[in-house]
Amino acid sequence: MSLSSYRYDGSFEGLLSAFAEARLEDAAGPAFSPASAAEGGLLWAAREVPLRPATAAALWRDLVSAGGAEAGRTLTSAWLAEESALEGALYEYCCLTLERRQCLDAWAAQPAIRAVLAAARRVGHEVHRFQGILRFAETQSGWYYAACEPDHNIIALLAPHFVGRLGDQRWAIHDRRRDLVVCWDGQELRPGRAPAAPPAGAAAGPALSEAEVATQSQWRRYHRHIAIDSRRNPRLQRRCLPRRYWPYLTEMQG
Amino acid sequence: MTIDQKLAILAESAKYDVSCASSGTTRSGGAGVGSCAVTGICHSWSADGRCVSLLKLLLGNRCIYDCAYCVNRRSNDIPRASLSVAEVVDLTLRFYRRNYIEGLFLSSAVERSPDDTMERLLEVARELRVRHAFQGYIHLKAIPGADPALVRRAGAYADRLSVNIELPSQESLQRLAPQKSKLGILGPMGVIHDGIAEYRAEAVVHRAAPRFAPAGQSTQMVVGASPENDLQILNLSAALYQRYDLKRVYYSAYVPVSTDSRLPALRTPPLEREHRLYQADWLMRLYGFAAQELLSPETPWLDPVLDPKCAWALRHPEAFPVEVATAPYERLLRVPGIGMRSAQRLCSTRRFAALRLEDLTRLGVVLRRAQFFLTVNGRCPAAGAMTPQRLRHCLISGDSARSPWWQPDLFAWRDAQAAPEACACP
Ligand code: SF4
Repeated sequence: MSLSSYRYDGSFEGLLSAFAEARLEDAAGPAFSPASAAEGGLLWAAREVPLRPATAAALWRDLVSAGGAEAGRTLTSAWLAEESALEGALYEYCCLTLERRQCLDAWAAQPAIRAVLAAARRVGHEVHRFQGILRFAETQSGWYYAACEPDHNIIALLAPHFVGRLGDQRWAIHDRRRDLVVCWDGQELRPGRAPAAPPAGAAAGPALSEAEVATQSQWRRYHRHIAIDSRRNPRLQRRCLPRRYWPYLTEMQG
Repeated sequence: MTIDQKLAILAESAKYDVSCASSGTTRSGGAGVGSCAVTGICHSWSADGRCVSLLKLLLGNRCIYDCAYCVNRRSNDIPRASLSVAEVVDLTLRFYRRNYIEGLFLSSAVERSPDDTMERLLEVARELRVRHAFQGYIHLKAIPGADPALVRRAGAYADRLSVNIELPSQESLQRLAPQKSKLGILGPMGVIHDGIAEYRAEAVVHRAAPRFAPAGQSTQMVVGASPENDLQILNLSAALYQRYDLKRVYYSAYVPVSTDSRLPALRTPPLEREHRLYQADWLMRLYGFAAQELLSPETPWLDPVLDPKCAWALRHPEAFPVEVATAPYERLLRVPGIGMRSAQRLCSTRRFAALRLEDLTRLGVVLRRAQFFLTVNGRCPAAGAMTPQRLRHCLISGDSARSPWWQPDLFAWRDAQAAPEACACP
């Protein structure tokens, strides 16, 4: 038995590589931290585990064969929550699933499973929320552009919904917090990184088409008139739609 | 008149229709634009805190009828407008492509005649579905008194159809909406019910059966404009759910829009009552309660300060305590402080390991309320004996501290996965 601490490159595959290493060494209560995290506070040095694609893929296959696609989805969603210090719970989730050879998501009283599940659920909720509150704007080039600042790293999970829905138009979803984009050109979904330094004055995104300007003003007008004055309840409105989302909502501008 | 002006007028006229549901169907792909998500999606919230999911519009508000409780009644002095079929179609598509909406909720005042109006509603849906291959959500109102053949045709294009029952009794309908008849309302409701039933039966045999309102039928009634009590209202809802297999009955607190002497003089809409009715309705649809369990001829009004499930629990001490380690799902649901989510979690987690008291809160049980009504492995978490009065007091203070009436935690959108109807914003 060893008290071990592992350092991985910050990617999901890197983390799985570290998990595989820890399992091999039968580490008790291992700690995992991404390379970007500050060192310190640790009594023993963390060991670098390099990314090993084949090892990571093998562990992933084992996990999915033990817990099914559902366990795989839970694990990736929880990972995309990007919550610090969740790695320990993710590790325990993997080990328990491999040991019991079934999806344990229903075992909500187990602390690690609960933590992983809660993170996955937060991600799921945010995806669901952005399916509703993401706003596309038609640019002069004919592309539709949507900017957002989600708490979690969700645009990869979000994009397929819009492929199904707006598949006949070309669009890009831009996570401005992480500077990630996914583009759909009508045929293919392409993830990418946004230009590190957006051109000056691009805070509001690219130049809008004429129809876009008219449509936005109509939507704002509609949104204002659909509220019933004698039921005004700004508190409830803010509870359902917290203010931090407003900067990207067409109807909340102007 | 510009389209912007029409949009403002007809949104004003449509805003008292409460349904916002966009759930219950899946549609996808094909050549055109759009899809439907089975859980429904909220896109925004307006200043009154209601969710915005569909573009809710009247095709026109030049009504030939004169229903006393309605802003659009003929005798009311308000700006009038009508949108053309092409205008509504264009607006819907432009909003949809920007992800403002899940689809269209189109209704209309009775312009010229019920048939004429119904035909134009139908035309909008047909244009969207056939010409533009639109796969988004469409909710159409069936106009009372319209030809059943038209209503049937609407079912081929719409995801949901609804006819407003308007008021909780025939007498009130006669008094306040003299041009409408019970038959004119129940007739189309029956046509829709039969269409849906046929479609479901056929879909079992072959999957490609032509669709008919796959997201079902709903209705709405105005609460507080007429003298019926809550028991009458819940009995009516129960009958509608049973007879017409409705997905939802919506309650709309009467918003004083008129000084008509036939209407009560209210300063504000009875929102609290509306909220309690939604809670009771929720209990009937999803928690297995019957209307007669919640109210009786002796106590025909819902308790304004206590939610109906707590009120039921207080009247039925013999049903408690419930042993959470072994009780079936249905009994867990009856415990105040245990919702559908937490009941499901209790049932699934106890398959893996024995439940402990400290697990309950983590599983979503609101112990502050639930503690008086349950045992965990034979032990009761609440200290000391309780008199019914003290218990009531505890439940009320807990209730109002955590969820004031405007904050309907029963309806939180987080229940989406568990509930068949995702957004139940009152
Ligand atoms: S028929 Fe409809 S729109 Fe016309 S007055 Fe009656 S409720 Fe209002």
